[in-house]
Amino acid sequence: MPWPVRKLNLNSTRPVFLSSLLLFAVLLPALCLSLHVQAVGLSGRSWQELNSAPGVTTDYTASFTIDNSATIGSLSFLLCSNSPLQEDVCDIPGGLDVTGAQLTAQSGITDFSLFLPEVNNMVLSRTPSVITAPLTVTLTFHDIVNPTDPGSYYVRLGAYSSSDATGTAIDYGGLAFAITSNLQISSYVPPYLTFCSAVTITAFDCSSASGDYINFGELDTAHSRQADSQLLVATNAPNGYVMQVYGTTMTSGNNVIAAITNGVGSQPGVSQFGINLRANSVPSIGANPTGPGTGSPVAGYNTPNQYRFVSNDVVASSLTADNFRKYTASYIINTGSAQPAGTYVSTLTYVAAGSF
Amino acid sequence: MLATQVLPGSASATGQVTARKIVMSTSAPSAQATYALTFTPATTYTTTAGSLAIDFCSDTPLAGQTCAFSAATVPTVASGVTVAVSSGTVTSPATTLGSGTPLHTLGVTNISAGFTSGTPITLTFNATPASSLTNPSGASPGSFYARIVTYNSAAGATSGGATGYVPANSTGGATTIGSGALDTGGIALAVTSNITITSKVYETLTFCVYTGSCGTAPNLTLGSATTQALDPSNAYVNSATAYQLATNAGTGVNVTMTGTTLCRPGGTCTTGNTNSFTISSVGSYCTAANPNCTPNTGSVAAVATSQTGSEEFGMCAWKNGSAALTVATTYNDTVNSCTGAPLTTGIYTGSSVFGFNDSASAGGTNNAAGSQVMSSSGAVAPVTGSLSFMGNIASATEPGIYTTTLNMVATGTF
Repeated sequence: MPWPVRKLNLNSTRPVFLSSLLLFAVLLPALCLSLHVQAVGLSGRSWQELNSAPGVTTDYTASFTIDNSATIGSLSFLLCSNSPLQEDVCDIPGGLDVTGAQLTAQSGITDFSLFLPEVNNMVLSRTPSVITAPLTVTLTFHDIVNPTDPGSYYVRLGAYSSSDATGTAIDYGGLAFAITSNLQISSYVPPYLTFCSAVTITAFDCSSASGDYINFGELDTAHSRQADSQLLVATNAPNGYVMQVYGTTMTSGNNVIAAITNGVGSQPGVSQFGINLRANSVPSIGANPTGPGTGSPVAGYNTPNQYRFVSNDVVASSLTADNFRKYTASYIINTGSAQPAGTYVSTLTYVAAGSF
Repeated sequence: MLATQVLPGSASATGQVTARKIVMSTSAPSAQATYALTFTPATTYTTTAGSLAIDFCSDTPLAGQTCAFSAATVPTVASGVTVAVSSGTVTSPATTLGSGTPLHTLGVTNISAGFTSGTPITLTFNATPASSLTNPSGASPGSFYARIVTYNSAAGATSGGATGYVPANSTGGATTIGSGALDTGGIALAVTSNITITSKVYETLTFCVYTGSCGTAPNLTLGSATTQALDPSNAYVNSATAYQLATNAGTGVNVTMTGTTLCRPGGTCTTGNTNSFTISSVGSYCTAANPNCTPNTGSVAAVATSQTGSEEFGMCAWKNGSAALTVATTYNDTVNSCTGAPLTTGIYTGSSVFGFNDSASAGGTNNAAGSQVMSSSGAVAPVTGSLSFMGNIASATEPGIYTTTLNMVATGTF
């Protein structure tokens, strides 16, 4: 083995730590004068995890540059929890396991074979030969089990002339890497159905809906009377929505203005009441649906200049979740000469239902 | 350098020099040293030039007493010890006195200014050339003494006989100060081993992503505080994720992130732009005409401010003033630096810029190399920053529970 390996023993390490602490305190003023990092011959060292989560099985990529031309027969990667220094004993990181690791990619030096003598030690061996420095080496290891505790860990990287990582390391460098929990984010999107109806709705904002009463004025046989209102709907129901209309035709006591049930145009002089959701020219009223949604009026209410009114009819729908769609409902009323006098009234209710 | 201790000295029929000391350039055993002798004469003598003897003994500082010496216990001298005086001139190099082995006594002649009572004088004996003045060689020699004797003539100190200084020629032998002596004094000195200090500096990389305290797994909910739900009428942020980062990696550190945008079960989560199972990454619908959005430029993902009613998932990173760290463009809030009151947790109405590159191409979170969040070109002093996540949904965003697992990796290059 290139370095001694030791499992952590708290009872034995505590006195050492205490004495080290006291020594440190005594020598503190002079420490700054003699700091140095032990690393010889291996520069630009990195040890990148594919996944930094504790306990997961993941890939690591090591990259470093060999600065000295020398005979290289093996590399050793010793993973420790206490120190990156070659001369220190190595505490095995809890949960770490490299015994299932595979060397899946190598560049710079491409003839290494991987040996796994211990749970925290990987030895790469090749027929010893001289490399020409500087030489950048990149190695990818698959299926390394991360330590189970978050924190900092170390890699002791050594290059040897021997083919089995024995003898004195001719080049050496330490590395540090961190294990940290993954970040979990969750969010809930509930079923939504936004729907409003009013005489006017500004933009696609139901809070701006205003008005619930339309006065058609005095009816006569020579002219149509028309008006409109607006409907705004959106839903994230995966199967879309249907919008229905409920109510009666225009009535005055027992007298009624007949509803159009077969989708015809406006005919002044003929008693009729109908609606559609399109832009019309005869008479000029209404607008086509607007907005980012894709819903549309259904047949019977989707032909310009043709009107219909049947209570419980679906007037518009979407087969998928739909963004805001604003419909304009146009109302036309005509009366014949036999239509009894009176005040005719209707109350219409629009209902939208999502299909989740 | 070791400050020396002054001890009383005495000699018959002479005064005693005061405020006397020898400052050694090094106290290491066997080292070549420079000794700077300073004293204040008790007796004035300026009629002619004066002279001085300095004798190193291990047993007593008292002039005229027997003198014990050896190479291990007292400094050794040889011809060539240069000497300089603080006022006037002096003959240099100094003269070695006696015939004992090793030589341990020096005489200084022709001190042109003589001696003036109450006026300090400094004589500096230089170690140049090497081996002319050498500290005791013993591993633990402890204290030794210098005996100082001044004389009333230019060469009195070296004249020997009845008038000058006669050092001991054998260890423990007798010494005499002679009739020409003016003042005497003793000085204690010591050598001690140098302090050798070894200190280990590990390669270090500390990186922790957490909520609450380091070590706590960061689990966030993005949405209403009461329902935990997103809605199309409000934007929501969660800034409860903190990170700690520090490294002495000389070539810097690279913090990357892999994962997907928020995603619900049943479909693929690899990219969020056109997938009904994801909440799109912020800026997915970005166009140059949108003043709230900076479109993609090459591998740099779009960044955008929050737009309520649009489907968006984004992140920004706060580096808490770290000069070493640079936040990647995608996650750099150029408006508020990803900090400030609006970026708390809950409904968000601020103007910060967010990004989330969930591409599978280089630079994206769905690429194995991850999306760079922060980086440095050198060591990073400990910094505690935060990550803020922003979520918006459109009216048509499919209902469900959306989740993501983001893997943050810090890689140092040492």
